[in-house]
Amino acid sequence: MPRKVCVIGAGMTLFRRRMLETPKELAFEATRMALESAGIERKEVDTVVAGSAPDAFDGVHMKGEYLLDGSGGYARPYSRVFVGGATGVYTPIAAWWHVASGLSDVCLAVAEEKMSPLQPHPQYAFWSIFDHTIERPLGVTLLWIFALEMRRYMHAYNIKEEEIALVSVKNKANALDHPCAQLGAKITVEDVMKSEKMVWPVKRLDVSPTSDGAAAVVLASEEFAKRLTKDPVYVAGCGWNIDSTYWTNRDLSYPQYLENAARMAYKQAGIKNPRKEIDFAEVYDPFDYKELHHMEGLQFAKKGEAPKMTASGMTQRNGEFPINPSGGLLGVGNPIAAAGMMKVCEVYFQLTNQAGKRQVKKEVHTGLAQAWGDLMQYSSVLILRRN
Amino acid sequence: MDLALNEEELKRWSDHIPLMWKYTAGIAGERFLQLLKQGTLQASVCKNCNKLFLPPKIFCKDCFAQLNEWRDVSPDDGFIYSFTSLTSGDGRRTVVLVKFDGVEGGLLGFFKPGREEPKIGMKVRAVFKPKQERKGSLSDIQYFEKI
Ligand SMILES: [Zn+2]
Repeated sequence: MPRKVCVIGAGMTLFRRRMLETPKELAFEATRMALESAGIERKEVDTVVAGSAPDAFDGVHMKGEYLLDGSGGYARPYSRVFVGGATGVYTPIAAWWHVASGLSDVCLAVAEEKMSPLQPHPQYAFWSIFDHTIERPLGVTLLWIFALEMRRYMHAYNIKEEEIALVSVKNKANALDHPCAQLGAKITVEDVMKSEKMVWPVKRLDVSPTSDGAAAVVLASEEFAKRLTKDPVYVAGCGWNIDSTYWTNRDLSYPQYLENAARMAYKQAGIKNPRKEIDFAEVYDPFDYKELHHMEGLQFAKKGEAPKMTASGMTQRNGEFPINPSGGLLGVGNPIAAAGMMKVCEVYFQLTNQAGKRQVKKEVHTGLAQAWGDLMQYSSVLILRRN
Repeated sequence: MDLALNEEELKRWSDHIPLMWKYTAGIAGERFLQLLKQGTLQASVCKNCNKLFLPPKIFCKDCFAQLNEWRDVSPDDGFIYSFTSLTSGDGRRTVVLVKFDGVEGGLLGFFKPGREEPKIGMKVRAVFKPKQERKGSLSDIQYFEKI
C-alpha cells in the first residue's frame, strides 16, 4: 500500500511574455515561495523533481541539470521529468511516488519554462517533433493539427465556433482576479470570432499566449503534514496515459488517453461519479476547445455535451461546477510545464481557502488538475482532497 | 518490384532545425556583466552560510536564502586551481580555472601568453582589456598574469 501523501505548500512567479530572470532564477523564486507557503526550509527537503518541457525554449540543453540549483535540488536525489505539455501535472505525480513509496518525507516539485528566448517564435520548437520521414517535408506545425482536431471535434458533435469561444471569454475574465496573470481580459464571443484567423478554425483569441514563468508545490508524508496542520490537503489520486505516436491513427474527436488517465486517478481516489464527487477542476486549456474536449475525456460531460454545460453557466467560477477558476492557460498564461503546475497550485489554493478573489463560492473538498501534451497524446491527472 | 534503393534521396535527406535564441542575462548576470565592464569583480554573499559566490547568484543553493548583498573581490586575489593548454590555428593558449581565497566558484580564462609557465596554486591577477574594448562579458578579462 502506498503511503498517504499531502500537498503542504505552493508558489508561483508572475507569468509574462518576457521575464528578466533567468530560468534558474525563475525556478528559485517559485521554489522559495512554495517553501515559505509550507513553512519549511530547504534542509527539510529530501528529494526534488523538476519538470520542464523542450530544452529548445530556454535554449539550454540538459535543462534539468541547468535548473537544479534554482529548484533546490543541489546535493539531493534529483531528477527531471518531461512529458511535453503534460509535464506540469506529471511533475507532482512523480513527487507523489517519491513520498508514497516511503523514499522521502518531503519532496519538492518544481516546474519552469522560459519560452521567450526562442526566436523568431517559440512555436519553432515544434518543427522537429513530427516524423522526419513522412510529415516534416510538408512544413507541418502544431497549429495545423490543433485546427484539424478542433474541426473534427466540431464536426463530430455539431459544435459551433461561438460555443467554443465562450470558454475563452470565461477564462480570460477569471484571470482578471489572478495576481500572476498575463492576459486577463473582459472580452466577448464576438471579439473571439473577429480575432485574427491563424489556422481556421483556430483564431488568435482561441489560443493561450506564450509565457515565461515557474511554479512549485511541496509534497510531504501525512505524518509530516500533520505536524504543520490538522487538516491537510491529500493527494487522492493520480493517473497518466498516452496514445499512439502516430497521431493520424487517433480519434481526434475524443481523447481516449485522457479517459484512461482519469479512470486510473478515479480508481485510486475511490471516485465513481466524477461530476458529483469532484467540486471543481483545473482543466488544461491551451486552446478554448481543449477545455471542452478535456471535460468530456474526464467524464464531466458526455461526448459532445461540454459546450452545453459551458453555455449553461455551470462552469463559471460561481457556478455549480467551476472549471478553471484560476483563469487557465488562456488567461493566466502558458509557460508550458509551469502552466500545468499553476493548475495544481490553484487546486491547492482553492482547497485551503487561499485563492483570494478567485475563491469559488461553494465549499470545496475535492479538486482536479489535468494537463495534456507530447504530440497531443498524453494526459496527466491529479486529484487533491481535503476532508 | 524495384524499390529504387539506388535513389539516394529516398534513403536519406537533409534538413535543419532553424532555431535562434535571445537570452536574458538575469538579475545576477546583468549586474555581474556591468561590473566586468567597469573592470571590477563582485561576489554575492550568503550571510547564513558565510559564503561568497563568484560568479554571483541571487540565491544560496544550500540554505536557499535570497542574496541581496554583494562584496568586492579583488582581481589581484586569484590563484590557479587548474590549467590546460590548447593548440589551435592561432597558436598555443593556456586555459586557467582561477579561484579566489574565501570565495566559492571560480572564473575561466586565459593565462598571459609569454615565457612564464603556469603552476597550480600560482597567485594571479585578472587583467582587464582597455575600457573601450570591454563589452560586458567574461572575455573582458584579457588574461590572468602571475603576480
Ligand atoms: Zn546560504
